[in-house]
Amino acid sequence: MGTFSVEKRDSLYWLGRYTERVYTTLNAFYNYYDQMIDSQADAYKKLCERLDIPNIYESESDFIHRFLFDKDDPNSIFTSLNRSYDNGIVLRNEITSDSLAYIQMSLDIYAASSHSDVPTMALLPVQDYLLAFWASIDDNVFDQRARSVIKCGRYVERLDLYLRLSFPTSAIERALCKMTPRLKQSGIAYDDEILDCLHARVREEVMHVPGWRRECARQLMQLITE
Amino acid sequence: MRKLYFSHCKKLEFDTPIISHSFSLRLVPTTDSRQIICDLKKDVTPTEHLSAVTDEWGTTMWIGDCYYEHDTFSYSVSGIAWVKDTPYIEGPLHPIYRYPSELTHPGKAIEAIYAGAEITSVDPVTRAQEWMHLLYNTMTYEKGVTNVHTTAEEAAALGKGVCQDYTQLMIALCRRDGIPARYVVGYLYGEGETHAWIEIFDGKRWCGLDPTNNCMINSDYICLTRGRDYNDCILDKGFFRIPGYELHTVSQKQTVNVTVRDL
Amino acid sequence: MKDIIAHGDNINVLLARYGVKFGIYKNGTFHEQLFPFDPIPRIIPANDFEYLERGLKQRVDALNLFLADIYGAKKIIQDGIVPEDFVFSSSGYLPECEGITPPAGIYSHISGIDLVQAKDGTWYVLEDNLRIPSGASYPLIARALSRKASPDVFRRYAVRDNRDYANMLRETMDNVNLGGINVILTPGRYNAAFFEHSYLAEKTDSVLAMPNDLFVQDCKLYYRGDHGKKQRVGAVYRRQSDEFLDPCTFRSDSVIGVPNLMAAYRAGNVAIINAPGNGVADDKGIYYFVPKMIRYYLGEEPILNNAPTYLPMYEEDKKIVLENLDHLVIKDVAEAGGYGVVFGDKMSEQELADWRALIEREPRRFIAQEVIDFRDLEIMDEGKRVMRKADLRAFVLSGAETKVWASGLTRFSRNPDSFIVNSSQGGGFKDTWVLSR
Repeated sequence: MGTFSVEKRDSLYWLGRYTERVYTTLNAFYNYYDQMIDSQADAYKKLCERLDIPNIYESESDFIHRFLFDKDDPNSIFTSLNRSYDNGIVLRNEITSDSLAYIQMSLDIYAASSHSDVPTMALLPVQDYLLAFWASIDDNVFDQRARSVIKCGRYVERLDLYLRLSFPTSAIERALCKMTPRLKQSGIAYDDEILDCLHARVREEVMHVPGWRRECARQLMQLITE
Repeated sequence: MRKLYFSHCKKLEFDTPIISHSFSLRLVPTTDSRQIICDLKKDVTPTEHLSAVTDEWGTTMWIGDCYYEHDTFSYSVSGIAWVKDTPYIEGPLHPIYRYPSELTHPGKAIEAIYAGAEITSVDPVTRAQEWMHLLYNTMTYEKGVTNVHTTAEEAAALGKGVCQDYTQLMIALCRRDGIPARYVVGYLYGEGETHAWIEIFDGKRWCGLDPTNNCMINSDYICLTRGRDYNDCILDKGFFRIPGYELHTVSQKQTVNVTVRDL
Repeated sequence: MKDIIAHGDNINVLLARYGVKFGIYKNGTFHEQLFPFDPIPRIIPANDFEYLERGLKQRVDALNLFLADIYGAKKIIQDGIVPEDFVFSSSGYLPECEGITPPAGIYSHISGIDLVQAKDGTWYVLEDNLRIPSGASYPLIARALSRKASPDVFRRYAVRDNRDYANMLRETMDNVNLGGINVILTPGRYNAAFFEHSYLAEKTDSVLAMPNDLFVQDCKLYYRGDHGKKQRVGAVYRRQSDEFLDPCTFRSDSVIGVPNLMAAYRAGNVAIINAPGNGVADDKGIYYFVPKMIRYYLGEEPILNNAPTYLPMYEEDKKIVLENLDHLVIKDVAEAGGYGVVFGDKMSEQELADWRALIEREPRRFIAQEVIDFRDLEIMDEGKRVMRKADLRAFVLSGAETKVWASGLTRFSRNPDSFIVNSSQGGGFKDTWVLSR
């Protein structure tokens, strides 16, 4: 192994990204959902703004349902999970049936939760399965490059979301430090200067100017050059 | 034997640059009992890899590829053919030539022609000539009414067509009549494009007839490739991608020039 | 046996967990659905299997010899055993394969032979599948999961392990590999059997390739890596039909093929599993001649029976067919997957008359068979045991030697009135147990 096609490499990368997107966006959803309980009914508007997705939702409850479960909403978490599955299904022999099963189970639980009164409870096993998925990747994917590509996707996504969601600098720095070696081992072409620049910006906290996270997120989009 | 010079050039121009281009070309005439081919020169541009292979009927094919971006593709072949002034070609009969093929399956129109014909000779070559005359008298030569996918049955129903249609229709009738027949693509003396005609098996050897011109073939004809019908004799096939992932058909302009003259 | 039925739900949970599905197109859109699994296994006693094994090896060996003959010397035609027109007007015959001797002379590496058992216990071969028979992955994974769900059952019964299929398949590929990696070539993610393609790739440690991942260069087949890297492919287990395999040779409009693959194959640089052109030997019309082939090539009496079959192209048989149409089954030789099969006893007078006219008009297109009185198998239907029609697809692998997999795919019809067991028409499957004593 070690040789895989560009298409397969893309699938590995995007499997990592979408899986992380589901996990981290669910956490973000719970935070904003929590705020919405205390009469800040339009907290979801802030979340849309931060995630840079159009606010197409008519109300708080419309948001809760569609952002979680609408398969026709391209920005819903359910759509992200389906994309994660679409990328995973073509990678059975790279990631093994055992790893793929966790995505499958997440998807089945997710689909079955859409009519639940308390989706936050119904969806709990989804995050458990996703964490198990990552453990399974560590245990079962022997090809180091394949592992690096999928983790590169995971940490690029994490860094992107942490920047957009205004995570503390320390969390952002950890994400960047996890991403960097994976990117270098992945064999995916990237822009060295942008990577250095990202490191410089994140570390020089004292000099942080307003909007630095947004600037970093913008740069991150140009990091990968193929 | 007559000494002929031949040349065949084709140029494809694509409306958008293409990549990952794989192709297979049947452009080299083969020496047989009727023709001797020598002094072959060929050029295929652009290519990265090019290899000569022989297909199931002994025809030489050039297969190859070009991965980098390009928007034209051209090939040319030229050489000298020593051609006997005879319609007969030695060679075995493969049973496949007795049975209908994809483009020559008879339908109602062909059955009607078959049932209505009064063919009297016994000898396969004379019978085939009778079929040829009949076709020549009932069909009208007209360009643009048929295309490469037109079947013999459709051409029969239309009553019109070009050399491909005349040939496939005659193949359908001959096979229906119990005479093994095959499709031939080659060059005809003069300037223009490639031409198609038929070879029938008379029990011992093959015999060429040109239904479009209502004549037996002679030293004006150089054979390039043979098969069950047009589909087996496509001279060039190419598959490529436009930058992106899917195999794709791009619109293309083609110019073909075939020259055959005396030396 | 009760506990395995009780554990049926557990097994279904596991099948869902591992995404054991097949794809189906409904109104033009792709759906994946779970392949319904019935927990009651088909049990084949050791003696029965020993008999089937001998018969299947004999049959597949003869079919391989037939293919070598047809694409070579054609002696069986010259000797008048098989009529010429049956071979050369079959859509499965590919002149493009003339004169090619595949690696190790093997044409059908993986053969799926469909059998049924009649009420009196006699086994009949219904159909040979020598192109791309699918289905082995289902009993393979179902067994692994059943053993997890009901370990005690397997402690009590002496069931031969079937999980060696992956090794057998790998040996079959290695046996003909001409230097390079083994690849399973899938038409793509939206193919009905994609689960199987990806599962077999995982279990045989082959590379799963999409058509665009492969390319031919200087008459050799390669897997295309990123950054311009490439890996030589020595054997390709392809899962698309012949006509789509190579657009330079077959259908030009195929977007799931590899251009010039046939040139690499003809040059002897890659093994194609199964060989292109096998369709000429598993044609529903050629089926009639398989017992004759066994006598002709092997000089042996056929061990397994064909279902009593008539060819309307023979006047004698046509007469029988037209007179007995109301209790025969008619099959269109060109169709597969349970399509193009009609039962005379279900027809109105008008339909019978129409069919008689059609058979008169196109006698070569159809075969007629006696309806075999199937031995039905028990299945669980909403908690009750009911009897349903079922068949058995046995898998025969031809490598250095011919081996019969000690298992198989048992498909059943969920509809009590139907004989059609195909998954594409709503059937389910069972595990097939071969007992070791």
